[in-house]
Amino acid sequence: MGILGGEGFSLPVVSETEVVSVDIHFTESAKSALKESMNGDEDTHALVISAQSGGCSGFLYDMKIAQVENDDGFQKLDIGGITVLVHNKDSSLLSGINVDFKDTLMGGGFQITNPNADRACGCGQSFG
Amino acid sequence: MTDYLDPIAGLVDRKSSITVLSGSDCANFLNRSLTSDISEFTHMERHDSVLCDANGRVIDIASLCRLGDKILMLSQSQGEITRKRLQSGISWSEDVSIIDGNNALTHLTLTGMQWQRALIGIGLDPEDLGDNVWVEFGNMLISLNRDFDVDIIDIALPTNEVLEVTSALIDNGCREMGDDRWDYVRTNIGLVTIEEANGRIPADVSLGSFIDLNKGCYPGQEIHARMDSRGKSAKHIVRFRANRPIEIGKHMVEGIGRILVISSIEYNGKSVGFAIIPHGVSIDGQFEIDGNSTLIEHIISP
Repeated sequence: MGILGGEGFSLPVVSETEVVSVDIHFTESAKSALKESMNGDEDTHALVISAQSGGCSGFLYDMKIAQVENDDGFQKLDIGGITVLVHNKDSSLLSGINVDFKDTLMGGGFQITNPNADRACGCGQSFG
Repeated sequence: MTDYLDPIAGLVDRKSSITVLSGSDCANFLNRSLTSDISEFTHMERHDSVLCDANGRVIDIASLCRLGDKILMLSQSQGEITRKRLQSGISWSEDVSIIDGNNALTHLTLTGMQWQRALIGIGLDPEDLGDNVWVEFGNMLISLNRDFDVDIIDIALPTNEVLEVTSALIDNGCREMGDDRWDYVRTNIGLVTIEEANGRIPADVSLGSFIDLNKGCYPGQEIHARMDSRGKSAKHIVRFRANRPIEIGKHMVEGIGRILVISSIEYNGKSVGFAIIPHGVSIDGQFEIDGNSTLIEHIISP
């Protein structure tokens, strides 16, 4: 049977998540950098912004351009003709964020400032 | 000095919080939250680690076992805090499930003299227990921890088999320990648990070996890295033995300075506990704490 084959295990833990209507602000430089990153795939791909555990402060930002087959559970935003998706479970953590783009050799790239964060890590990728 | 041990082994139900993480991403996912690195975590390996908050303070201590695409986590913080914290950090794209195993599994610890006899009696050869591994025996997982002067054997097993296994171990020469006896024994061994470590910097409570500053970011890493770059922690944990209980809290001790007593256990007229003292002071000899002649000793860091 093995130790994990017996009875008494609960169903997977479900934590209640507060779902809020997501509002994200992109600066003009972030919009143009995003458009460049999409490389003409705006019709088939979306930018997914999410939060996951980790980083120095508890949560890490993640941004990826992806082809999301099933967007159930996501909130969809249109940022200058580009679809931005935020999952409902991340909505309370990410609503209100400001996305900027800094074109510098060191510390450049997309930068997020988050009014919901009590603290942020020095590298800017983590918040809590 | 092991005069605190009975002549036969002792067995205690650790009342650990038991969690099963499953899914192809579970190791990478958990690795982001631990202070140590489990990126190369292999089947049946044992890995002990700490979870910290963003201020670098301990919130849980965990013993892990990799079982194929699952991880069994025996952790010490009670309630749902760790499970809910982990659950809230699963990304939408990760294949991870977190399952509450508290009703299904139990964590026992066997320690003290003659523990080998009890295991041989139930048919397990102690030679089969290696370092940093779990061994499957029937429906049990058994692991030997040799980090301390006294061996500690952790046993995870289905809760519905606890009575049968406990009876068999007792029949083969061990006795059950109550919580007060266990606290007395583990303090003498030098085993720090969440009781002492909660809210403290790992290095201050002999858990510094569970920190890997080369693994990259984890909650609390920025604080630990800063402390490391500025030199060793300013204080460390010691064990004290006294004839009377010493009150928990701050004490001024001649020859040491300010110490913080964080646990004080009295058992059969003997008193033992943990205290945090500044680094660099000599602790040879007896000290007076609250008019109590007290022996202060270093403990082994796992």
